[in-house]
Amino acid sequence: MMKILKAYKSGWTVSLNSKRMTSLVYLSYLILALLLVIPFYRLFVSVAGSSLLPDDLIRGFSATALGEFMREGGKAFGFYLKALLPWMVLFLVLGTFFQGGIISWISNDRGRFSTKTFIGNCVAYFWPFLKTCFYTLIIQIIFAVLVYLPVSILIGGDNLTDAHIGKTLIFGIAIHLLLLIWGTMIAEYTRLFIYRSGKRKVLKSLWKAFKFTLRNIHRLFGMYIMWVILPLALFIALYLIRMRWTIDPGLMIFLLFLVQQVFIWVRFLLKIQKTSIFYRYLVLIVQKA
Amino acid sequence: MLKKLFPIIIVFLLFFTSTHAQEILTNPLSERITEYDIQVKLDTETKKLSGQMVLKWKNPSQDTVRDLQFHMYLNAFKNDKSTMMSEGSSFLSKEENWGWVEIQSIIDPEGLDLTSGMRYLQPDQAIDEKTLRLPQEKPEQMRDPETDQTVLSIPLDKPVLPGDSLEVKINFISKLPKLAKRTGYAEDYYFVAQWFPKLGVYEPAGMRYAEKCGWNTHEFHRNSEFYANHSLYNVDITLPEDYIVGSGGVLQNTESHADGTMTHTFRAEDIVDFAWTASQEYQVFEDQWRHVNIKFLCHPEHAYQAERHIIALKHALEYLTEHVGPYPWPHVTFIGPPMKGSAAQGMEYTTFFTAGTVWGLPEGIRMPELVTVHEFGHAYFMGILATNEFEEPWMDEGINTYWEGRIMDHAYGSKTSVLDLPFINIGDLETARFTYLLMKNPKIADGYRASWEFPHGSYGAVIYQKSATWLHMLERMIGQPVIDEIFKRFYQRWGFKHPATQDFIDIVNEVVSEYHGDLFGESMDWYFDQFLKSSKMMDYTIESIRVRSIKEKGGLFGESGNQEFRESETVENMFKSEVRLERLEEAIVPVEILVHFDNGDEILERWDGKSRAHDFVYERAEKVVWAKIDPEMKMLMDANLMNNSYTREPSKMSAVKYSGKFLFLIQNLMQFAGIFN
Repeated sequence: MMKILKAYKSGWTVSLNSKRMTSLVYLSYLILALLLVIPFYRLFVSVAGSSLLPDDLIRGFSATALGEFMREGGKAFGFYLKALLPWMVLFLVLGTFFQGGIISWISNDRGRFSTKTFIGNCVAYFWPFLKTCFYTLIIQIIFAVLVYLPVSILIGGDNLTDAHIGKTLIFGIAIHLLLLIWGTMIAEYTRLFIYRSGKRKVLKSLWKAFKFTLRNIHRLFGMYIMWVILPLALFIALYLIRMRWTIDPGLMIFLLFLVQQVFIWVRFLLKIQKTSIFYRYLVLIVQKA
Repeated sequence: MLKKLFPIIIVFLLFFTSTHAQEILTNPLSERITEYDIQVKLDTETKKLSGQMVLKWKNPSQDTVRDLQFHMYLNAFKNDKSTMMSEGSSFLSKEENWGWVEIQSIIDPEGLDLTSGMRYLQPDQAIDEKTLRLPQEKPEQMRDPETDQTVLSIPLDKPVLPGDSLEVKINFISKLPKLAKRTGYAEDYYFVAQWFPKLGVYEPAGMRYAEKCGWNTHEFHRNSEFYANHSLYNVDITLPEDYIVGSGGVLQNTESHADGTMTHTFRAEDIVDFAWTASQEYQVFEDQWRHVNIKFLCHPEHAYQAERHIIALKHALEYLTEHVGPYPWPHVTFIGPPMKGSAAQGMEYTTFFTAGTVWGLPEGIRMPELVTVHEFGHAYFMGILATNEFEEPWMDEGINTYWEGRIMDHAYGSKTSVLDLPFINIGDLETARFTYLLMKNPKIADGYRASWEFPHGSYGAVIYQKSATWLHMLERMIGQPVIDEIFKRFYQRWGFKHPATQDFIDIVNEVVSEYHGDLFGESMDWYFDQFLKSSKMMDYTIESIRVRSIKEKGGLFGESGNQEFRESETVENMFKSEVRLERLEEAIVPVEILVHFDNGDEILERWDGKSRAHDFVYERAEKVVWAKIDPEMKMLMDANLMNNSYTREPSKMSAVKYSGKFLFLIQNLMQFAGIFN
């Protein structure tokens, strides 16, 4: 328990010092996102034309206004929705790229942040971390099959009630969620082992990470739960803010936009914090050994 | 003396309570042309019903009737050649899954068995393949009798004279199909509809504008089930005693038998069809709304939603009573079928209907409420106002969907009555309008045709949603009190009869004329001609707004040799604003246009909407900033609301807001993608 608290506290300290790095990561992602959003904005303005109907969308939600609007420009908007999948792959690659720089900086929290060093570390670890990402994807697919194959057998029989199907599905999703988290922890520790060993042997590190996370599973989940509380609270706060702001023309739209961006920035910070917590925990365990 | 009389009184009472069912209503609501006394036994092993039925029928016409025509609708489930099966893909396969009904004997008052003369008819098979319409003259029999066996003609040995009655005794066997299209069994769950030979409606000449007298019978179709007399039903159902039974009747008595079965005796008055259900797992919830005893039967997994269903039903009872007319029966029973019986969801039998739900539905998804309100509404539109669903389906499903929308929007909010979730919500009327307008081809068919004449699966959107949308538009044009008066008069005049489309239009014309004079023209026929009887669409647009400075006329003026040249000069602070309107589609409706000037002045203009283009021109110191067709959103049939308004100063605020939302969505998705690295 003490190790978890120590790691958690240390992770906080490190992440609070990583504002410049967080901003760099945030801005990189933002630029990539804006490549889609700016043409989307232009399309929106063009579809809206001289009609007054889109003004109904400024104040809250109107199914009629949105429906009419989407009918007018549906096909064009469809392009952007389809583009979301390749964009997610791009984000995945970009996120993998930054991992080398983040871990290097976390491991040396007293050093000053330098963009050049950061990018250098990103490049240095990109290839093994991309491989890690690929293996993680395979692990996640295996986890999904392990959960949903028995679930589909359980709900595939005759004479079942929808309650039985619903509860089985919920149970399956809960188990899958736990395995999903475990999968992310394996990936996290694979990268940490690669970094600490200085060797680029991905499969060996993956195996070590698998064993390490399995041995420490209850502590790691404990840390994960502690880490997840803050983003969850933030999400609820954002939801409440949005629910209260039913009238949001002009300044309110701008303020809401700012809140959303702060929320995203904080989430990046928290992600760095998570890596940092896991790293400190590993260090504490290794020191004890 | 009293002591001596007591046993006699008891015997007398027992005799009457056991052999004569107690009447439900003080006075009959209908003519009760048909009466059914049925004893039926369900064999849960073979899924068969064996029944004995006494049918009483009164000839309502001045004709001598020489045959009886029955609906044998369980035969729709007999093979792939039935009309219903041929109208879509087959859904039954194994031998035990099919269903059928057979008359084993039909004995007339002279004791003669009439079965030898029985023959099946296919009255609807005469459709013109090209026009998809019935020809004016309907041949009685068009196809091989093997094709469809859902209409049966039985010639009578002795004809029924005008006003006379006939009583026949019928023995029949019905094999239930595996539950499909709201009929049959699913394991040990039963929903028993279309299960007995049911008499058609004999229409004297003139009834529902019929040119000739005769039986009005139709094959069982995929999209329509109902046209029947208001009848009296006394039904004894015998089945294993651990089954809980529900029906459209009032339970009069139960009697256990030594063989482990129990007979449930039901009586139903003035309803058009009798269906029932049985399950060992039903939980029964009872409630009361004014004079109406409410009974809800559902399986345990849906029991926690019982209150939602019952509250929705009470909303419907309250609203329809207030805006249309009283619900006359003292009882209503409805069920929530289990998942294995989901094919029974969403069906109506006047005082008995089936709702529909799924375990785990959040309160913001109002499926249980919507299905309950819709199916109960049929007690009025089909039950009380017994229209012919085969020939004029819009009067049944269309009108009922309109009332579903009114009730749902009233009870649960006009923007939240279908879906009320965080960040997304939609109302019933909005859903109806979109379903119609999002059709690939909204002009594919008019709404004034028989139920099987709708090509490419267009029946639902045209009959339910389009009809509901133009009825809502009519309401907004003439006003809610006026349309309420129309329906009240429709209920009073045609309740427990069989109205046709023209009967409804006549009342609309009568009431609109009383309230609005000739504001909408001599009659409202133009409205029905465009939106019911044709597939015309409506779309008005503001093509543009043009604003220019006003100039004095320039050029040469006067006679030759004495001409004066005047320069065209701008008049200070005077502007000519032109609001240019166009009609893009065929439908013509008078429209209102709100014109807004830069000093805040507003003018409400009216245009008859007849010409293809029309301009409103203003010469004044103020400039027109924007204009809006139909500012009060009455014209719900307008196919494109985006082009109904035009502003010279468009706001980009909505683009900013939604681009921000899109950005936030992308940023959240990229965080989600992060779980893989």
